[in-house]
Amino acid sequence: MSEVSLTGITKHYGEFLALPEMNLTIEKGQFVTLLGPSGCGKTTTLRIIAGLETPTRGELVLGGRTMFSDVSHENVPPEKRGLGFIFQSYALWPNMKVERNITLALRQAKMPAAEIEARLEAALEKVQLKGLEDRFPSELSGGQQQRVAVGRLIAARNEILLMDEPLSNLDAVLRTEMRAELKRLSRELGATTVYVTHDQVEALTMSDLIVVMNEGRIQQAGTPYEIYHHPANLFVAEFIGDPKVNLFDAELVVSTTGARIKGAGVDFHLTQPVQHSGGAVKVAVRPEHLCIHTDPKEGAIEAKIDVVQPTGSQTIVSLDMPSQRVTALVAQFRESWPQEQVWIDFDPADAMIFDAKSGVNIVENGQTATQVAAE
Amino acid sequence: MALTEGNITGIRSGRLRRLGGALMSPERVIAIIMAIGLAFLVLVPLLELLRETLTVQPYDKAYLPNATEGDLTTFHYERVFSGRMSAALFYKPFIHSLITATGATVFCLVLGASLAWVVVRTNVPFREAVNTMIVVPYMLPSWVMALAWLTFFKNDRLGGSSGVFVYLFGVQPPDWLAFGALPIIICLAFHYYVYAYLILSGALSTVDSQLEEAGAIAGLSRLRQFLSITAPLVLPALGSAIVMTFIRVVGSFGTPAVLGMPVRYFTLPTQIYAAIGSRNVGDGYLLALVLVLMAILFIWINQRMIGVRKSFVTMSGKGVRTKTIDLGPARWLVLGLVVLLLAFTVILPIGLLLLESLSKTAGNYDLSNLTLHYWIGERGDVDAIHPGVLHNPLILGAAWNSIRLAFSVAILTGVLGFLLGYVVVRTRGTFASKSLEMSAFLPYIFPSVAFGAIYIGMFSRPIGPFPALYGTFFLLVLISSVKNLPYTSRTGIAALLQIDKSLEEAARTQGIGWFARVRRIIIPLASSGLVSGMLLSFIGTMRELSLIILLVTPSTAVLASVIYTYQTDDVPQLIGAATLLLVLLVITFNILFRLCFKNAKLGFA
Ligand SMILES: Nc1ncnc2c1ncn2[C@@H]1O[C@H](COP(=O)(O)OP(=O)(O)O)[C@@H](O)[C@H]1O
Ligand SMILES: [Mg+2]
Repeated sequence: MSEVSLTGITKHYGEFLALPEMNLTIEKGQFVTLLGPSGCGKTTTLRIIAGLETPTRGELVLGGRTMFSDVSHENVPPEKRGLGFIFQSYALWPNMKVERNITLALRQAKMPAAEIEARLEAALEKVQLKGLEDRFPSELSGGQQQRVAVGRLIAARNEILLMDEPLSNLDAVLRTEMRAELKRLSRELGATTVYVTHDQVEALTMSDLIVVMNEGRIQQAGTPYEIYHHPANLFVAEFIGDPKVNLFDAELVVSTTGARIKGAGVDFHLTQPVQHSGGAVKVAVRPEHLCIHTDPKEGAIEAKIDVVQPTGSQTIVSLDMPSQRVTALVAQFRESWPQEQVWIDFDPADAMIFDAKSGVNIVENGQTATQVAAE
Repeated sequence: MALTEGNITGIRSGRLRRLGGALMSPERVIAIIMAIGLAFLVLVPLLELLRETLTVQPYDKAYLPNATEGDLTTFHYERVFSGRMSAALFYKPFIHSLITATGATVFCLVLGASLAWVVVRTNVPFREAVNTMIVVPYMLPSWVMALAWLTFFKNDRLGGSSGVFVYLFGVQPPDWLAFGALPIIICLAFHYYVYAYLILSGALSTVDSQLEEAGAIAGLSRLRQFLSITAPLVLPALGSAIVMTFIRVVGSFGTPAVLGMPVRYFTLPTQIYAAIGSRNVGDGYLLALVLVLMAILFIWINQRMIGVRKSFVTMSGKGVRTKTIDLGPARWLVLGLVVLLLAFTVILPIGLLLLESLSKTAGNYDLSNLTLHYWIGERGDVDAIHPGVLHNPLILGAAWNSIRLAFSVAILTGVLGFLLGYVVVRTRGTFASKSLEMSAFLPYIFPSVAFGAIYIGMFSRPIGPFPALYGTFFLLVLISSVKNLPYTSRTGIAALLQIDKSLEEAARTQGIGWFARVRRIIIPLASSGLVSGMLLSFIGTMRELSLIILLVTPSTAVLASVIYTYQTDDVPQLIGAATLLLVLLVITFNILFRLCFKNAKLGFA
């Protein structure tokens, strides 16, 4: 049974339409990430789930209970929804010590003192803040403050956890560390988690399901594998992946012998089935799928090495083609190439094809991809 | 994004629900009720005042034998604006008000702006101390300077004792130096410059030097940086400073009463006082209406010219980096000037009043003439009629009234400030929020004396189930609290705005109810801001004269009003002693407050 379900949820701010008709279902225990550029409505969606914003229309069901409905005029206030929420700013109460920040909700719920004590202990243990319970939030570092916010969540033991960019105020090292922590936490609590971020690495590393949003609309909801390898449209293809995907303009010709892609530098037969009658398309190739050859090769395109940026295990290579610039990702440490003139090609099976006008992915998504993800 | 048909209906039904929701949400209900209550306390009195100017008053019977009381009449308008008496009743006081208020405002701005620049933008030594010194005159009642001026320059024009000037030099100072426009302007300016200083230094310190540095990098000259970056940023504050100073000054009663009335140099506030004092309330109210219109006109012009919605700016400058100009050795000169200013505005007046309070016979400042009688003496020793302040039931009673009044107002201010702030901030953007903020701002446009006049008009007889409040202590509490509302609401809103909404939301999602949230999270966090607001209303009420001079009766007299009435008795010693007592009380309570609430910062009302 679905744990979180949004049906036709719409949100206006005055005349401004922040969310046009959102439909989303999340299964129990899933870790779901809302991913998208800033201002696309992620926070709004999360706050609607929490009850901090009232949607204009639609229905919201949490754990089988209708929390909001414009039909039955139900609107359960946030304090009655029993959710955990980590705010981007952590929202620690500055006038209370760590201990009180963690236990205030338990005290308000009139929990027995022994139970509160036990939960506090367990939470402090888990977030490694033992000994700091008598500090005020202002006396903690950013990372520690973040852990207090997590501790507050652990102590409350909610079924559904909502997190709004909880790692964005941390430095890079802490962020990587806390990423693993939060994923573990969600698994250990067995909680359903909705996690908001604009950082694709966080989304790819943590999620069971990624929901890519743009301008209030869901572009694609899928596993990290699907999102990366079978983006539903150009927006998703370009948004996911660092360095960005390479795009080539081309023409799709469909004949009895099969489909063929022709364009500046690209010319190949499609191996995958497509749903298209032919016309202008965009071919997208991930940088890691571009191969660099030092000698001319049948079907390969001429290019010039421009900038070489080793990042450790990989090297980002920018190349100039006559008509455009492309990026390749090489799985080794290189500081330079012996010659400027090189030839690049890619396996047609790795190419993603999008309709040039609508941006929709026209390659039929064989079930193989999902199976890979599920294995 | 184009709106489709469906979207538009969506918006409509959303609006309907929001309207329905508005009836449910407790914050909005409180907001509407408060807005209505406040409007009642401000707008109804104004309409009442207007009505009274248009009806026949008991006093008018002598002039209108055929009219019955309460009839509609333009009699007051004719008499005040075009009658035989109009020059004395209206035109002269009006001109005098314009002269003194404009003069004092200009003076205040020049002084306040220079001081603000010195403190914020130069490397003057002991900046913090300088800042405090500049603000000290604000603690004293505005008319202390006027009393001290009179103590020094009093001449034989009035009969009675002469001042220090005569004692020292043996010649009578000319009238223009002892009374009238010049001394009024000087005395007003050296008190009210504090407002311009605080507003402008606040604005100046929020101008990040990095903005100017960016201008410099973009190739702007120093002058251009100032003209195109700094000045536009400070301009709204300058407008606010002008409006605020002018309204305060033009509605000020004490100083022109001390330095003008003895020589029949009337301004509008003193003329209103005289008219109402002689029961000619119709004319008095009409003059009050003129004052209100002047203030509104001023605010309107300011808003047209500067185009800001609110005519005061936020004073809470966050710690932006401001770069200071090196004055070189001149910085010590500047420090010296500030010390001189403090000497002139605070030390000298207090010293003079102290000297006065210690002399046996007024006007004689010989050492042999010193006495403590007017402080601790019983009646009959040095002075057969007046005992010293500590044995004077009238003064002690008034002092107690002052304290009671200031405390009640401070408490009410704290409660109202919290409610206003919470409701306005939490319903931000709604009609309820805007109307509440607007109502709380309204008392700002009424010069103090005019506001007092309005309240007599309204509360001198029963309204519905409420008895007539005139003559009650409660009326004093009410008017002082209402007049304070513009500042109260601002402190409240500022205090609540500092509390990030997510703090309350975090509690909500954790299932913590409204009362627990307010009690455990909101009030503790807002309290430090609110306490400083309360301290300011306490001090402000202790030294207030203009607002309540028309409303006090012998049983509700406060220290400030008693001091004023002693003016007519020619016992300058007692005036000096009582004034110093008031100053001592203000300072003592100020220190006590600060000890009790260590982390409350000094804001500004
Ligand atoms: N209280 C508000 N009033 C008006 N517009 C808002 C409000 N909150 C958010 N928005 C608008 O709604 C859109 C979505 O915002 P948000 O959900 O915060 O985006 P993000 O994906 O960055 O979290 C933005 O365009 C934002 O400007
Ligand atoms: Mg956001």
